[in-house]
Amino acid sequence: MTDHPVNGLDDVVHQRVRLGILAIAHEARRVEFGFLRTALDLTSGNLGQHLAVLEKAQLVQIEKGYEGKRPRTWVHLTPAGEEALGDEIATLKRLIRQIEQSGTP
Amino acid sequence: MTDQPASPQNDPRELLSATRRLTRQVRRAQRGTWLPLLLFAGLTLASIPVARYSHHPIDCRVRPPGRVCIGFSPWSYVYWPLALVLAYAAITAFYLRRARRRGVGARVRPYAVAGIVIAAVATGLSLWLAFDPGVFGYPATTPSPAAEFLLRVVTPEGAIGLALLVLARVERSRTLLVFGVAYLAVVGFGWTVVPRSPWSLPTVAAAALLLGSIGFALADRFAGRPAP
Repeated sequence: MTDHPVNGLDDVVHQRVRLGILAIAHEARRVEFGFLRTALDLTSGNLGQHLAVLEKAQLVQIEKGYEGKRPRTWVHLTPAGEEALGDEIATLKRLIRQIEQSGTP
Repeated sequence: MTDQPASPQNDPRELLSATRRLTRQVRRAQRGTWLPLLLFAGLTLASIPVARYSHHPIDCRVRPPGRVCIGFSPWSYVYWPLALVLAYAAITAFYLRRARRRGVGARVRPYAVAGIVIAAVATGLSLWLAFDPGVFGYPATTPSPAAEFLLRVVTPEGAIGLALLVLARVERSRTLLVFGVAYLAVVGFGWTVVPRSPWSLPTVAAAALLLGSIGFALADRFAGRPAP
């Protein structure tokens, strides 16, 4: 193993949609399934699969309930999710710095 | 590692920029700046008759060539605490309801709590300064510009402006921060350009808040539109 930033990337988080879910949940504190689906331009099934991966990794917590008669699914970031998001962003920044220093496009 | 080129969707620069775009989208969905500004503009306008008709001098001294007085509006000390608490409760309810409808969490409690605390401290300071004006050299000298600024900042109009800076922090809005600082400058130094009367400062403050509310509402409307 080298200390190249690539080695710090987590396969669960280093993915456009899942990183997007974590970023939105971090900023919103709690976010509804419908907002995520629209913001990330996904189908319900596709979003559900990504959420299941994040929930299994204990990075998000999913809460189902009702608002009036309407079923609602809310997503929260867990402390592990906060940490994973912070690590991913830091690693991406390091990676970009390294790419720019080495002159690779 | 393979020799295959990285997917453009997982390119670090693209990932970071997509994350920033999503963050901005969430912030836009959470903001509702126009409402507090509109509400406070209305309350400030409504406070003018309260201040005007309960305003009376509590102490006057002769200081050639005329005399200097300390004025006091007792009903303002009833109107403003009540109005501000009700306003912050209404703002909190509006933000929570709107955020729930849009599907995101709301960031309003720190603003409402800070607003009420700032208003309470400002009211206390204002009462203290009204009954102990010697702090600023009264009646021998007129207050310095810095003291005048402080006297304006502890008015309800100033307390509203200070709380707007907290809202700017909570909403992470640089535009609101700039607006809040400009508004405080108007409240703090407005007396140098408008006539001194119980009507002038609240009128200027209400106009600034109303213009701000219209500006933020328009900006919200255009930002919400999909790009052509």
